[in-house]
Amino acid sequence: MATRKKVLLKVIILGDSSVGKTSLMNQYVNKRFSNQYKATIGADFLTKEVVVDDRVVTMQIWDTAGQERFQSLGVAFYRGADCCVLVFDTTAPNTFKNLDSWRDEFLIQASPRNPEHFPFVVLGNKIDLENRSVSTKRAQQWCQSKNDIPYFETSAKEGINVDIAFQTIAKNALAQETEDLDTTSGFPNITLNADNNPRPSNDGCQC
Amino acid sequence: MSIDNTNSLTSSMISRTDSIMSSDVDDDLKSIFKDYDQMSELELSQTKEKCMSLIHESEVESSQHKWLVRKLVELRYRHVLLTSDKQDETCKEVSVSGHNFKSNKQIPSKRIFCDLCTNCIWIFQQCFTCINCSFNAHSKCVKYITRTCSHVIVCEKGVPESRICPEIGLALQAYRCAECRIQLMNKQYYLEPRKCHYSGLYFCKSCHWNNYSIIPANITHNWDFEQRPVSRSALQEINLFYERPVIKLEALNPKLFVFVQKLGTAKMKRLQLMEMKRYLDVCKFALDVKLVNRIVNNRRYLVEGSEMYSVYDLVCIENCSFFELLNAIISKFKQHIMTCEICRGHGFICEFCGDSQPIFPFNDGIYKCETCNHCFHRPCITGLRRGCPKCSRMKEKKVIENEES
Repeated sequence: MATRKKVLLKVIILGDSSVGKTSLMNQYVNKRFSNQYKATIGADFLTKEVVVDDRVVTMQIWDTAGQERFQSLGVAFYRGADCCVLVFDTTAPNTFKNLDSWRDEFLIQASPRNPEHFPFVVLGNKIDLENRSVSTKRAQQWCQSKNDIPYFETSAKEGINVDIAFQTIAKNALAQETEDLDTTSGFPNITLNADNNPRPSNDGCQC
Repeated sequence: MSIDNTNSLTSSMISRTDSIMSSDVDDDLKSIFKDYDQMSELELSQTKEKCMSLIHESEVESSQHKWLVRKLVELRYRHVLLTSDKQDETCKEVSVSGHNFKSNKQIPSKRIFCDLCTNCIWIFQQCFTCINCSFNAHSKCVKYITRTCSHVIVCEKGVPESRICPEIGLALQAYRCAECRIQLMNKQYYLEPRKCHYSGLYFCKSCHWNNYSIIPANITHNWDFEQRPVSRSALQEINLFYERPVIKLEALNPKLFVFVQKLGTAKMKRLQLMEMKRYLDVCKFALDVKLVNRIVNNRRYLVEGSEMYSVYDLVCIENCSFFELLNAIISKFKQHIMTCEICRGHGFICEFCGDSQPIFPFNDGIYKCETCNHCFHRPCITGLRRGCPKCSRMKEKKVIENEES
């Protein structure tokens, strides 16, 4: 069964440029933060082993480029994702508005089996800054309207809520993964034998 | 030192093959640099600084500017000579008219002829060779050299002569050799004028040795690789241009790509290479091992753009060896992209059929949207006569944004 297998969870972090996707990932994986801004080129991934529900799983976190000029490359890595993290900057309302298009684009490109119930997690980053302009209420409302997406307010700089957010991400991703595995592992059980196969073998053309 | 008494007259005799006429430069400017051979180290560095400030003052691209840059280079060579410990007897470096001569210690495999006096340089004679343009000369001839180093001219010109043999005729040359200005004919005597098919000028036989060479302009205009006689300076110039990727062939002669099928193929392959390069540029694994540099090594221009060709490339296209080179690079690039997790992640999933195998713009049978770069299987998008779905989504998003604002 699925529990015996080594599980690889694929998590994609999306959001506008300079909202802190790379910083969040670095804070979570390496416990490091740098004030310097360096645009991510293309996509990059890091892996981290985590324990979820007493199981050791490997999380493969894909950090993406938010800048439009790097979006001319394909996003085939969306395929097979187990969870998608949408990040916005709580001090920049535009980055929040764009969450809709990030989510839609992800669903189109990844085309998951069950788009309605695909696990998303929304992170409102940079809460350590003073000039906040997206209220918690507004963000929560949006998340509720999209099938109750879990919402966390984080700070990659101070490390606030980062671990708990990623723990939830891992948990939701694992739930998605096991669901996927359950459906696929069901297939080999169907045994076809000649008796209940209605198609005649040597009958030539059927039209 | 032997060159200390260099004939100051020689510097004023700038030949017709040179792009800078001595008359273009002010006399008072010339006087500043007149006797730099005799200057002490201190004077030399002062002159150098003066030259630098003059360069900044002068108009870029003007002959005066170019002349000053040449002088600065000469001054620097001279300065290096002065400051180096090796002096007099042991000194084996000389700089004249932009050349940087080094004494050639190796015994040559074939006979070398002096570019100045055209006589053989025997093994027991000291042979000076310019490290930039491979001009050979006897040690006794070095100080009389008037021809500006081809390397200097190549750097100033940037591109090889683009007109086919731009002949002006002997009359306009005043019946003189374009380089050494020797009278080619008058009432008393007649020297055979030799035409250089590269510059279109006439030379005497000591400046034109009937060397045969391919002519870049003939290739770019007529795809003609025939070798034609050229002057010594033209030969050195063509050789220096040979491997430089400086020819924007499509801008020069777009029709050539239609008539010469090989060129069309080369262009296609280079575009394919550029597409692959975009993937390798953003892949941390490829960047970590400097994959691109390792594969293309000294021919970086092949992945920096698709327009530039060197004369050598064109020769290779004609004899088809260029394709072997490109195919080798392409297959190595492809091997990485197809096995690298990040590069594969940057592939596209065809939105129409949803096939989970990633597709790439450099693959065959792929349609790439010109505006958003998204890729689809060609049969998927053309068979259904649909526009690019990504573009229509972006349009919708823009409309909504506009409405909001």
